[in-house]
Amino acid sequence: MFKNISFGVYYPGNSLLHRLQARTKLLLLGWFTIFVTIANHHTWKFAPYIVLAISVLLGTALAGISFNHMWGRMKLLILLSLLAAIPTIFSRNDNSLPLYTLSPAHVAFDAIRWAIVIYGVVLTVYIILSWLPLPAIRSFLHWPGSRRMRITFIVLTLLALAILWLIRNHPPGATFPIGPFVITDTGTWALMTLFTVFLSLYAFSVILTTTTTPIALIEGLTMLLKPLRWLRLPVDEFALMALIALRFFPTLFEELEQLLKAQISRGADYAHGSLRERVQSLVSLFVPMMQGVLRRASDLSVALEARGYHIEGKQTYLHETSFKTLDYTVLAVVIVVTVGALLV
Amino acid sequence: MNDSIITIRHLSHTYQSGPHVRAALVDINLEIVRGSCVAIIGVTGSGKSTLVQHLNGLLRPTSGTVVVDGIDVNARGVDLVALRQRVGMLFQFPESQLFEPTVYADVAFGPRRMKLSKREVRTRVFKALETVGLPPHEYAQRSPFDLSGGQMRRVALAGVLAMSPTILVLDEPTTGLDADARSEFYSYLRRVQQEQGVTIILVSHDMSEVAALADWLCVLHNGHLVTQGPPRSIFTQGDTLRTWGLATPPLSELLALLRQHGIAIPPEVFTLDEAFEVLQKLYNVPGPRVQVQQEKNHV
Repeated sequence: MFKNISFGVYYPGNSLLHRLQARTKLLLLGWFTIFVTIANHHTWKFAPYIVLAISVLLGTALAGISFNHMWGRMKLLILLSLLAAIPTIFSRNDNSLPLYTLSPAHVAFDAIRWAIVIYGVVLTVYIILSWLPLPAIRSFLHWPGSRRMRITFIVLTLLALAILWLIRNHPPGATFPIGPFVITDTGTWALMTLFTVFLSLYAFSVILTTTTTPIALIEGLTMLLKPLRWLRLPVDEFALMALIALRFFPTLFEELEQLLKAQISRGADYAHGSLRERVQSLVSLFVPMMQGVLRRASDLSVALEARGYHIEGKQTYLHETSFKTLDYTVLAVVIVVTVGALLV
Repeated sequence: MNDSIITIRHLSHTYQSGPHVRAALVDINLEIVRGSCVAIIGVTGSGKSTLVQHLNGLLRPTSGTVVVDGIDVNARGVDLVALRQRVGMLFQFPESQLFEPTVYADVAFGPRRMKLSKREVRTRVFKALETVGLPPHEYAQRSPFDLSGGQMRRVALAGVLAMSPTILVLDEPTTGLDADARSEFYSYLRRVQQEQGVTIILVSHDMSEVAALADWLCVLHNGHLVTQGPPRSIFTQGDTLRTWGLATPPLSELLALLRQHGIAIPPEVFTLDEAFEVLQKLYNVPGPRVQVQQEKNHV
């Protein structure tokens, strides 16, 4: 059941971006963040954003990720940013230029009341139908989507009751205005930049994690953080910790899965039963799990010491890597193009 | 076969993680007779564990049917709790699943979930501990973590037995145990099979374990059920077994070697006793049988 959870989202491959050093990719991501921050200050200049969009598309293509997959990873975020966009576009600033004004609309309280009554009828029909012993309805109730529908119904009902209570004192003929809505130029620009920056940075991080193994990523990060060692910051300890954690995640999950199956086999039930029983079932999972983790940790520390690991020593890496022509070329091209776009 | 407790028809199972799809089981057809001890053998990754996890509904078939004691495992609304009570399953390194402060509480975990009366739970726990050779008055109140590895494993076995299953599935039950603890474990298993009529399904790649316990073998290779039959006939096919990455038990190996050197040993010889008898006849050496009996305990 844990097989479906993937840690990191690395896709094995041999594309241009797979061959790039993790450090290079991290540097590029950092640079793009600086780049968009600078670009944000120049209103109505499109060159940086065109460059950004092209790099996202190019990066996706060069990483060998299908656009379909990319869309799958991005669609939730796109939806969220669209929702976030609604207040942004109507935000008003004194010295901004109004582009479009939506005249105020008048809504009658009666209309709202009628809408709620109609909703109530629909709800009653649904409840009565679900009580009827018809086989077609029974099978519909077992359908997983119907559960989500029931939750929606509950939320809507609460909302309707709240609205009814709020408008209880208004006379039936009264109306109230919605609006006016004004779309301004700064609002539009802020929205567009925010939208592109957010999405492109997310896309870059998706590309980074799909083309880099977590281990290479940590090693790259450690190498970039090397200068901090002079400030006596524990860079190597951090690297060791992160690498061990990454290394043991899959192992521990395998153990947890095995343990879960073993305890289910002897009667543990995590979804049913009284609270006490469920808590006890969870205990049956976590006590052996913690024991396993602690045993593993102590074994590992002994193994590290037996092999002469010393925290003060100079650390080397299993995959000792250096920048190659490819890395220098990509870095140079990206910096020239982005700086050019900023100066245009 | 008339009285089969488990019937598996065209069972296939595919694992899917992200973009990788791997067929773990391909079109398995199998019947297991009530009260028998069946061993499922094969190298690591041949699908043994995947196969047995279908028996108590931990995994669902991708296609095909599994019927256990009249229950179709993949049917809608099947009572999995009742199924898992009937099919006791002991995983690899079962001592790592112990968690209660006392042996008694740990063994009682399963029966308590079955909503039995306190007295019934107590009877069952005591009986189970008795069966696995841990006298309750001595062990019930001890912490399971103070016991030896072999004893902890027997506590875990008792935990499963206390639910009084009709089928007992054991996934490599003796890996990591020393020879003594191993033979002790076998003797308790045999007792469970004979006294309580429990059907035992053993997953293993230890051939001497299999030879000692099983009366039917199923060989899995790359998710296919390549052959099945009584150990006697399977272990005569040493060369075929080796192509599947398996070996024959040491005794069969030795007999094969003797045959290669021109000693006429009939192919049906399988146990140490039989081998001894044949060799005795061949060479006309009168020998004490007691010695053999002793040696047998060590094999």
